[in-house]
Amino acid sequence: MLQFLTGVLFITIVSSALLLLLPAEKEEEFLPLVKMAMGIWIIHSITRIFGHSLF
Amino acid sequence: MMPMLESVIGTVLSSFIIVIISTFMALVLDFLFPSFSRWTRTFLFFIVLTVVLYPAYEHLQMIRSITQTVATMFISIYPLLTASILASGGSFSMLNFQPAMLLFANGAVILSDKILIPMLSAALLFDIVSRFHPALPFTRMADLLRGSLIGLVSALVAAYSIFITAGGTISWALTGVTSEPIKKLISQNIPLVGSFMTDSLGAIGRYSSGASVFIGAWLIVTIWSVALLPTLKTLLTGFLYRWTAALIEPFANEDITGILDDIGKTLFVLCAVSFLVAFAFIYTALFTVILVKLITVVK
Repeated sequence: MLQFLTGVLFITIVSSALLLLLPAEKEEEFLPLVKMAMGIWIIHSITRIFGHSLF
Repeated sequence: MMPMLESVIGTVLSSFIIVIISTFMALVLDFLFPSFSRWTRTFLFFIVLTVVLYPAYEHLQMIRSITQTVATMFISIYPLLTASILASGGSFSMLNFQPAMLLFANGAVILSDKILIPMLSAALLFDIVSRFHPALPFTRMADLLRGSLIGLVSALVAAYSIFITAGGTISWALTGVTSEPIKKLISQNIPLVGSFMTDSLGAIGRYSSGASVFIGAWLIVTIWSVALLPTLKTLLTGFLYRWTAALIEPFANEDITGILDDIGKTLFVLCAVSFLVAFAFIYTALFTVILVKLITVVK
């Protein structure tokens, strides 16, 4: 659980720092990437916490 | 009561004044340098977080340490209690001692130490993430965590009160007709935990009125105030967060007021958790006092 929370916090901080550094027009392209990263992390954590037949 | 109030307001107020002033400074900076508004927002967010999270975190730590103390008390007292009950025999039957109550109280303390407080910190983190990064919202998760915590706590207290009333102890004045409007007022005006507070107050009252025959009203008042002081402190701090959010709303960013509001909400839930611990504490303290009294009277 702690690992999951740390990952969420890490993705948030890194993505917001990158968003600050990127120009405003690139923001639209970058946001889906951030969402994808968060989605991958959440799915990975769910399968790690609850287990899955594939892992 | 007054020194406690002053100390709580004194520690929290200074950080809230920093929040108000820095919000205003950010407003001025936004006006002077409009192109830096994104940076200003980020810096303001970090300043507010560092200043504002500290009192909330302190309260989490406080409730946690109290919970650990109460758990240690239980573990040390429980064998003594059981042995004395066995030794005193018939004289104890009039108190209608319920071993399940001790189990409940102990379980509640362990629950709040192992589950409730980590869940609350997680809810706090999710709130911060969803406010800081509106593109990645975790608001439902945070609300769900808080809601399930409240449900868990109120179910536990309902179980307590069933156990107490089933024992047939004398009902207390707060449940009477005269106090009904006051209870209504409290439950409607304190968000989230109000109704829970009045219900569990009634449950504690029902138990302690049965015990007041043995140990006197003043001791009960002392035990009550010692047990409920952390709860009151947490409640007051939660309200201060919401007051600050209301104060800075006209000129502050939506994020800042939102995060203050969310931390206030989390503190209200923490207040409910500390209520549960206080309940366990009151139960053990009363029971120990009654036991000592009975042993000294009988012998």
